Amino acid sequence: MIVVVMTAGALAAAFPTTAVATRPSAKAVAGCGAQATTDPTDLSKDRKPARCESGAPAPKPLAEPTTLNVSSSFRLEFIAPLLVGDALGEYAKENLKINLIPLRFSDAVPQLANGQIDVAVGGIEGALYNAANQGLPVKMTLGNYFPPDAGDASVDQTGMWCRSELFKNAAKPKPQEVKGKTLGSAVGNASASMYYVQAWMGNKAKITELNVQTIPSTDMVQAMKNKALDCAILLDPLWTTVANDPEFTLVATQTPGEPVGGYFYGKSLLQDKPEVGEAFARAMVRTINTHLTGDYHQNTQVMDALSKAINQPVATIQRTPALVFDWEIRDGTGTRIQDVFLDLGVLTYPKPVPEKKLFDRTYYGSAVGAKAQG
Amino acid sequence: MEQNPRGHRRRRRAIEITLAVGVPIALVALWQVASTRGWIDRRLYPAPTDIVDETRTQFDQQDRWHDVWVSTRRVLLGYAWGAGFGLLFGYLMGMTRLVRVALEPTLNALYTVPKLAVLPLFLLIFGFKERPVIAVIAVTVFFFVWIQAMAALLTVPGGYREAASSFGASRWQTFRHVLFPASLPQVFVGLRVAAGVAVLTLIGVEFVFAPGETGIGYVINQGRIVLLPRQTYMGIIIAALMGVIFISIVKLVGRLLTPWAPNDRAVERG
Repeated sequence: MIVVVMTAGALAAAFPTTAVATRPSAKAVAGCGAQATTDPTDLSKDRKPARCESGAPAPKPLAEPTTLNVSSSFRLEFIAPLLVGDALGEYAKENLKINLIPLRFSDAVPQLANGQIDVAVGGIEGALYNAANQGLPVKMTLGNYFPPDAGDASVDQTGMWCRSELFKNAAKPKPQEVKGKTLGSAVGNASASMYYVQAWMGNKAKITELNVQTIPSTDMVQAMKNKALDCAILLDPLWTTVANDPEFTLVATQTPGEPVGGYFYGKSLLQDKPEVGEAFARAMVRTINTHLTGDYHQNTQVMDALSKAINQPVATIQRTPALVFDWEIRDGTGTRIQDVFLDLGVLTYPKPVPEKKLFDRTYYGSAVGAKAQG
Repeated sequence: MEQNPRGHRRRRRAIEITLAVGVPIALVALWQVASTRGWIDRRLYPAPTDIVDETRTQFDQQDRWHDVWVSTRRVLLGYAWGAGFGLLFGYLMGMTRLVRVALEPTLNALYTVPKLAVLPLFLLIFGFKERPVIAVIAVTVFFFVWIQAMAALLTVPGGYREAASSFGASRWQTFRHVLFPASLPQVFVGLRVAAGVAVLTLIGVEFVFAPGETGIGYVINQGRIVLLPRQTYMGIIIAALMGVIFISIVKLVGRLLTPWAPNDRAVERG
């Protein structure tokens, strides 16, 4: 083990954590007007996500072809801005080549910090906070998505599902009724989903009153049927197997209009090559504006590209509603999730990490010509 | 020619001990210096002293003894079931050709299945508590012990059987007084290997499924998920110690039960 540590450590170049590259001031961008930004404090359910015109922002190709190592645990629809954009040439227009690496987000964080991985897809998880607390150069720079009906548990979707028999009235489940129950989660209590579970509980119960059990996603439904689990976080498309089944009830959904995951930059794009980080953000924002706005499930070109990229038939993808992609990061999301993690004991440091150490909104701000908010 | 063989052996032994103790100490010291001097990033590759501090803190404040106990219990139960059935099948198949013919192809095929891959199946069969974890360990251990026991019995020199036969020993007496003792040293090699493999399997299973969110594998994985490298290294070291202790105990039991077997240093002494 010592040899492994030494070898790995030797590979990791020493890096300063305070040196942050100077970000250029925002300039107006053609095709990106007032709708290209929204108030980050707006958490209303009917907020329209930021958008530019189709094709905007225009590409500004890098002088040299650049390959980006991008990690993701999953090849699923929620990374469509990456996959579809790559398939339809939006990244190539910036002189970027995407090298997708299958890697769990928590494993990608150290790699981001030492520059081996340039971008990681992930949730706002415990690893991000501990990285920030230790001063590692890892920040979320782009949001990812929220389901179109987030916040409305009457519409079947991804979220916390429970066995209906737990509730007196399954149509109106009460947080008090899940106290002491077992909740299955693929990444345990370090998952951002704990945040929306606590949001549903409000002040009626605490998430610490649930017993969280880490369990593989694909085993969760069976575990609920066997009564080994009372509730589970069912991701897309697993929840479709229990939708319309009266034995199961959707209890809590992702909070409305608020991405709880996104794209994370590390040392290479935050410190060494910020212009490449800008190009990546530009391509992603343009992909969303051009190909992934509204009901893109009806767009044949997009669906073909997505179907090939995630290796699923178009009909399967269309079984769940089109997602709302949102590159912006809401104000306070990081703090609220951190509070839940501190309550759960996932994070043990004494002083909460401020959001400026977690997020950098200047990349998408620069892409759409908005004033950077840090 | 060596004029003082005893002195030569003593010097050689001293050099061996120095190397055995000195090399790990030197590596740990190098690791400490590299980390504290900033040659490697201390946040991602904590120094040994950081890991010691973390271990002390976690055992004081987070009751890691409970995780050690839970993991130990899982390993021991899985090992007991796996070794028990492994010995039973190994000896049965070693003694009876028909049983061997009937079961060997099937067991050989099952042997190559990665045991962690059957965890979802065991979760379905045994439910979502301790039993699937113990079952995966047991199945893994079973194959290591079964193969060794069967092979040990089959490779007992023919002369042993002939000697027993010439004394008019029955089939049971031949097994009880000749084949079983003759095979036991090799069986204990299998039991030792299986002890290490049991710990490896435990950690792998607890990465995926740790009932009650407890166990050393869970602690390692949790450190990895939330980026607490000190906790991860602490867990790895505890797992390594568990393996070393378990293997040493099996080895000791083997020595006590098979005093006729050549021990590890016999070759050098000879």
